[in-house]
Amino acid sequence: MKVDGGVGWELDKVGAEAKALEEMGYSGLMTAETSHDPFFPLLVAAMNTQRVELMTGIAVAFARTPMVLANIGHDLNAVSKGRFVLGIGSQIRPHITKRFSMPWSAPAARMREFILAMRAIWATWHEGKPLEFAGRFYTHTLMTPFFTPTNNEYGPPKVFLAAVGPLMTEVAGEVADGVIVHAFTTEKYLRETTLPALEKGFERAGKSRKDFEISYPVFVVTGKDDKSIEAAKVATKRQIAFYGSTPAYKPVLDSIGVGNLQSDLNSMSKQGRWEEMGHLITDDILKEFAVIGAPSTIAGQIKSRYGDVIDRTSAAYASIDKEDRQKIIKELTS
Amino acid sequence: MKVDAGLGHQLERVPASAKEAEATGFDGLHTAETNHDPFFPLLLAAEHTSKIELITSIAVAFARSPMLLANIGHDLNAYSKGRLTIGLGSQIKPHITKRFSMPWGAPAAKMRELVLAMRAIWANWYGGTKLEFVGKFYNHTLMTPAFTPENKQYGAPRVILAAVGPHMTEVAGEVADGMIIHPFSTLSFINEVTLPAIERGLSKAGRRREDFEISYSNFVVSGRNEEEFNKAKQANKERIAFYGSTPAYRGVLESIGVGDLQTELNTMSKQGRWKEMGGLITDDILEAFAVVGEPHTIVPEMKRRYGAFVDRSSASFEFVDREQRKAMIAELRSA
Repeated sequence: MKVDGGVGWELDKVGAEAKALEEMGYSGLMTAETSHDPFFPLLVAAMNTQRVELMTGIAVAFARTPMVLANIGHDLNAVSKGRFVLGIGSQIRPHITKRFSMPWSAPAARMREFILAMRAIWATWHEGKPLEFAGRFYTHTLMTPFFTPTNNEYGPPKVFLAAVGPLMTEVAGEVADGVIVHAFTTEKYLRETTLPALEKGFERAGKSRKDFEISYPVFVVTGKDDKSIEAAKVATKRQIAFYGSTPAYKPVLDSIGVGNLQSDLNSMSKQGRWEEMGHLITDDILKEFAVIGAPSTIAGQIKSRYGDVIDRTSAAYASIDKEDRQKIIKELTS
Repeated sequence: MKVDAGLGHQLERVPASAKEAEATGFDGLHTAETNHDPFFPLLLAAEHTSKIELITSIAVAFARSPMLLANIGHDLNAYSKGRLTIGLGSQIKPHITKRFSMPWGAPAAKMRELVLAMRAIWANWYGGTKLEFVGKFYNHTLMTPAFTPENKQYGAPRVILAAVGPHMTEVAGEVADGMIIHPFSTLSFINEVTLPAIERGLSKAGRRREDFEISYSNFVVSGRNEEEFNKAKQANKERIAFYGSTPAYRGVLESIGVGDLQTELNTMSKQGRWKEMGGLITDDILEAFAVVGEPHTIVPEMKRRYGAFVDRSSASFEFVDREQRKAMIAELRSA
């Protein structure tokens, strides 16, 4: 199993950070898109590493056009010599329309077309196919040699898609090279909803599971001693409660028979009762989302529980020593 | 006059060429947007230099949302410690709609709004002003602390616009920190169209000319010997013919009384007769666009013609060796 580590947005620090993570044995480095551009840290990381994959986890697709992302993806994949993975996600309607001032509609269908549009652009650049992409959401029909990258040695990057619901997950299976499963996922949901949706997508595209990567971050509750494990439990419960308050994620709670929690959590979140919300997450619920225990047990638990399903996970495990962390990474990647 | 140099897109080479440009004495480095991202080279240039300005010239504005440009601009300006200028251009309708799959509409009005939208976003991030930008083309009304950059020390980058026609030029004068005059411009066009339009924009916004930077890179025809000189002459004539075939630039040819050439060049361009087109550009027409002469005459002539209104130029001076290039840059920079 591959293990990814997050890098921050501080461009003057990310070079050293990336080197250190590569030395620690990580398989990939990941950025998120919140208050900064998600690609800049990966360019700096590319210049400072040789082996690790470089991934956005995730960049907001609908904030951009397929052409701009195709170009960014091309450049980062070329400079990293084929190590770039373009991880994208839809975000939610208010952020696309009111923050980015971009159009929103039928997210799964739009995302499918978005990825196909990028692939059409890359096929023009790398294989010389005419660009004749006329879709429902995107139109790309103009390309001249002047706007075509010439450094084609490494081709297009891989595209991973973040998905929660079955429609978006099926799109990932059909048109992406991998799926980024949300941390807020139970084992049951993963096996009973995510996997079948992916299979449907594979079938539609005539591709097999082995050509595809499933990335799942997995909540990990661990610590140096019992006390810090307890503290990690409380923090993770709060995080689970936070996600659980989102209406779109109710099916995940349904998967373990506690769907009714969602409306309670939602109304409490509107009253700002974050601490209390964590109390609604029992130890039994926590176990459905997280692996829990001493550092030496973590890799074994992840492997036995998810080893047959996922190809990569991500790990910060900031609450334990570097040495223990390195052991977990080594055990997971071996 | 400040002097800028172009920066290529081969990311592996950017660190060395950026350092070299800084050591040669250039004031700024600029990237274009053709077949690569225009911001990546500037990020690496920022990492490997300490004082040179970093400029997109230009990035395609309408291919992106104001929020993305605001975010990219923030990050590069913070990382370079205040050295970024975002130079924006409209591109033309087919490229925006058919290449980038983005909407096109009233370019000058839309560009004005795009710049104001970016400024509203920056005012929210740096000044805490509520984000309530509701325009004809762009809406930005949602911003939360999680999406607000924390490193505010260097504030917003400068924004400049590339413009040819009087409407876009006036918008630059009104809302931008400077403008890029197209190389395909004559002195009479600049005096009769460009400068008055800038003045109108500036006065609309109650701003002064000193607060505004005019960037213009004239054509240069020179060479180490007769052969190089003639080659440069031919190449520049072909480039001028290429630009001259564009209907939107007819006004520039009219400024020197050869507006009809545009129709002819346009017809020939559709027949792919590029070489022949250069033949229609006489030496007189060439001299209206270009500074032509031996290497030692170039800088004095640039200063004589353009010194009164150009704040920054861009010059590679490839026809001289490195030491002479340094001297020419120094001469151009001196008052």
